[in-house]
Amino acid sequence: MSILPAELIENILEHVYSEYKDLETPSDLHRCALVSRTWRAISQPLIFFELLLSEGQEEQMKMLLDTHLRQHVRKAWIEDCGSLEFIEEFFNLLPNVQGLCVLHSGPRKLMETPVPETMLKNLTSLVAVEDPQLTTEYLLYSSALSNLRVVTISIIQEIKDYTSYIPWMKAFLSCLPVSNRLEEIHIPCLFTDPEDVHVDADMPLYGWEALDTILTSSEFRLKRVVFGIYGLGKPSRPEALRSLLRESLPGLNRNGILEIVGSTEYGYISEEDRWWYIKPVGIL
Amino acid sequence: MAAPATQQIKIRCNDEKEFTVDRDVLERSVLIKNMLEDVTEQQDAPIPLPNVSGPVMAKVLEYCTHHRGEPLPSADTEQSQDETRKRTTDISEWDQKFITVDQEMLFEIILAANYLDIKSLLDVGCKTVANMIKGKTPEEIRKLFNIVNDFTPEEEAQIKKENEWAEDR
Repeated sequence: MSILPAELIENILEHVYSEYKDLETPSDLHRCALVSRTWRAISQPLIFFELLLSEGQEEQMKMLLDTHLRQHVRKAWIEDCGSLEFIEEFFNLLPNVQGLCVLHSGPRKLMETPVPETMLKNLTSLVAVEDPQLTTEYLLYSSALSNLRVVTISIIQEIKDYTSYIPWMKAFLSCLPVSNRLEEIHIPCLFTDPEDVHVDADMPLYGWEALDTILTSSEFRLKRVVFGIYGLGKPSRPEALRSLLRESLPGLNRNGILEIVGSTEYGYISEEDRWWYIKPVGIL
Repeated sequence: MAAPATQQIKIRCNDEKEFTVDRDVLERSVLIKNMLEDVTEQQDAPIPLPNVSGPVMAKVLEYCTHHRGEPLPSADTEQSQDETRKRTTDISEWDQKFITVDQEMLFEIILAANYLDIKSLLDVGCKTVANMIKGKTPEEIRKLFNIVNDFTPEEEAQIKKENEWAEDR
């Protein structure tokens, strides 16, 4: 019987892991961790790759992060929970965290306890959520985000309502340090098909040229700008919607870095869950 | 696609079995592709492949012939996978049928794909094994992979506790 080396077991378990959605706990991997020492060493980095800190689990999380397992956490999700002091402590327990997502459903005063700068320097990806209070916070933090590679700007709004959020996006983007390594920006937006959005490729979306200008400016060396279009069901005229975005973002389109992807489902379930980071699941 | 590759290349497996194959088919293997690029003059001696046996190579060549002309994955794809640790592979109907072999052959194909550096074949093989793991108990997985349980009872208890933490989070 052939024995597969550890690097191939790792490849196989990554496939097991890929069957699961973000934050879903893969029970198959839990069983894999119990197979042998080698399998444990491969499974646990996958099991703890993403970690969600949510209300009421602070003590349990502290116990968990007091072990060797904390080194595996690369992406941290934080639901509004616990004291701000605890969140800071939580960050300090994660030496290798690279991505941060603040899941946020109510007013929040994170500014009172700023996220430590040392932690921000390690971040390579961030989901930036539009919120009047968080806005100021991002602007305060942005100078420390020097290693940021991927930003998801999570303004879950109808395309037609997007214009009012463009100044916020501009403010956020222009505050990133000049030395940034930002390569990718992901921008999910919603559409309601077909009545609510006037899909007309001959009439670019109002105000979007300001966004186009900043995303194509020389201080950014972006490789990809991905617009995710989310709605209920497939758009009846996907090509028209695609053309509309291309027309509205002519600079990005010309540079060949604009990508438009779409989902056939709503990215969020309810009003409370609206800040969940949503993933494109298909191409328009 | 206009394929100028009529050049035939000879390879020799570890059981002395030799194959003469169109160059573009063999170049699905990054290992062989790099070897051929390093050779400037036409060589008649077969390329030795000490880690692959004749029967396994025959299967690998069947795969490479079917997929000849398809674009090879770029290095960029690998990088973005590393970012998320997520892999996605849809196994086509042909690939699924192709990979329906006994377990020994499946593992041999995976080892050969890894050695020859044929990423798409490696993914098909690993995904198939991943599907075999699903729903199995640790003991069943050990049996499948011929693995000895090297945990102490204390270690096993500790991992069970850690799994609970992950489940409850």
